[in-house]
Amino acid sequence: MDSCSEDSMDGFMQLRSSIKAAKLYLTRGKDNKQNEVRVGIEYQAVIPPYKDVSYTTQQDNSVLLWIPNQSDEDMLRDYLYKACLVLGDCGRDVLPLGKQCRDDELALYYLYKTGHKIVKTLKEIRNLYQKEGLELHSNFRQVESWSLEDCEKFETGLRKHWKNFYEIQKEMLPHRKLMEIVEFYYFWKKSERFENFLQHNRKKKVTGTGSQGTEQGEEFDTGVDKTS
Amino acid sequence: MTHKPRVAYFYDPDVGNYYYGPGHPMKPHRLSLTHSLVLSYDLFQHMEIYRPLKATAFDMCTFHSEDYINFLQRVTPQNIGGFTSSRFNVGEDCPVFPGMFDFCSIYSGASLDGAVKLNNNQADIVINWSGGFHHAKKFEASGFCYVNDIVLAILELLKHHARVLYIDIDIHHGDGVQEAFYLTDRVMTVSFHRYGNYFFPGTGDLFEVGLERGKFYSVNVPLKEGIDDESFLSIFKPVVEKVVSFYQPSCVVLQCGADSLAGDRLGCFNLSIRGHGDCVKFVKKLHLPLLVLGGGGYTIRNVARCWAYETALILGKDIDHLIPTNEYYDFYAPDYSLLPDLVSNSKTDNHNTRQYLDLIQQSVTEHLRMLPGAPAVQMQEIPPDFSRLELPPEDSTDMDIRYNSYERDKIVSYNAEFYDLGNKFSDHS
Repeated sequence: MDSCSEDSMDGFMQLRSSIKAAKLYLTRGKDNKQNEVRVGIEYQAVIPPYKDVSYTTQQDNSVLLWIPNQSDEDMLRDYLYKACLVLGDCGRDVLPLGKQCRDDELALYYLYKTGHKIVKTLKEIRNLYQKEGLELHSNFRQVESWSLEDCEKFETGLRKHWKNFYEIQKEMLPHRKLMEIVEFYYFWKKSERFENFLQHNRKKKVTGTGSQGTEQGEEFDTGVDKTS
Repeated sequence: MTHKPRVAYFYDPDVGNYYYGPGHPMKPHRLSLTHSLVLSYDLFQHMEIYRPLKATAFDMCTFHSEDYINFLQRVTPQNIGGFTSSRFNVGEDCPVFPGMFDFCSIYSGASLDGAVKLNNNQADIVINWSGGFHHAKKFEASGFCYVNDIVLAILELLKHHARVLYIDIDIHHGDGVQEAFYLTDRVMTVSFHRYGNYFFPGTGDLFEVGLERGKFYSVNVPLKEGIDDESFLSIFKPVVEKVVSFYQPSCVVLQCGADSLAGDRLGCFNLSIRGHGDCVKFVKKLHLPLLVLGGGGYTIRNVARCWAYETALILGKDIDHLIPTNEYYDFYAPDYSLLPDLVSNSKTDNHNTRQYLDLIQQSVTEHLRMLPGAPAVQMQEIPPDFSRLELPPEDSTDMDIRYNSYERDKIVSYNAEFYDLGNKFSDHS
């Protein structure tokens, strides 16, 4: 308690001197205090000129994915649910599905493109999916199905390299993109497989196989679980 | 004003899958969590969704030095040994990770396009949770930030707005933005942050008020650890209110770093998600064109909660406190609540006494009184909107090979207005 009030007293004095300095600075208008902010052409931005006129609209650079319209909310939900079933799980079927379900701007995009006609869109994406499979997603993200083998390789890599996904990719999963591995990790760590992985690592810890493996297991117990 | 704001939301599905490296607190995947929450709350029914076009090196050089951007573009974890990387401050805090430049291009492209949307009056509020990298400097990286998308966006806004107000509620001082606009009265920067005890980045004291034309156009509100909703809002609201009435901006950029929330892995404030959101609500009520950006935030489940909640606030939608099922549902265990009690678990006391806050507020008010009123801006010809021009690779000495005459003309007309690009290019040869 004492140390706390002392601390705040300290802070108070510090502030007073800081305010004093600020006042001095403001009134004198001179840079008498060593200013920490760096000044010069290497530091400041070059300010563009301004003119207050309306001007012709520039063509837009970004890709419009979705414009809302006044469709029935329940129907829209129902559509997304069905679309989600059609579009599949983005290739992560290998992970046991908990309560999570896919939310995909892809489904919205197709609905927007067909002019918000729900039945028509569903029919279309069904056809498209039959033709293209996971390729359908490629407009939005690279998707390739995760096999059980990949998943196991990923876990082996994780034991060896901890969360150095770059090393994991290089050694274990060269056919996968680094970004896919990162995404997969976040789904994996909230799945049953993560629990099994931890138990497996703990067992290793008890039997004392390799100090490196033990440390990593601990990291997963504490660091990973709590911080993210 | 009763009409609903037109909201444009920028998101790139790839942005969440970049990875700073094992053990690094900055986790871009928080953006995937946020987006998933936003969708599962049906918030898409009330806003336009855009996938941003990536910013090019040329876009970035409207603020950053060409040397630095060239470096960012070319460096990889494999070839970093061949660079004198200490020059640009990459390394521990700002590691060179695979895809680093693409990551910067995505978040910067979204902020830039957001600014263009506001300039074109195609939206009243633009949201880009992937942006807000306020520490990046003109020629160096800092504090997990490489390219300063905020400065780039403000520079774009300045083509159509006489005065832009920048507000920063990240727990860290918005030093990169302040430094970039330290000498101008066209941008007023206002940062609320933890200050003292060498807390990163170490700047943001009360007396940093700007210089030359920019004198009194930087406002800093240095706070102590443990500040709670009530204390924070008791200083945030009057300061923002006064700044707006003195400065009369025509446009606002709000950096919503979520590391000011209680329980953040790197932060030490005690704000609740509701309190953090109240700041956003307050700024929204100014009814000025608004660019809303992300920022820090290192306990990712709470970052996602906070930004999804704030998306709903911006849209004026009440949403359920129980999180709906979504791809990342299990991250919100065990309570599955949107607004969990973050504060009572916090071990940090509020070190900001009433006295302390009053003194700061008084000092800021005094400093605002020194403003000569809203500064007038000289009328000049408006520069064209930024267009995504590519820079030639550094090793190309013959520019004619890389540029056709049309492109070259565009560059000349673009830059002749305010600086001489010719010199910049000749530096290479």
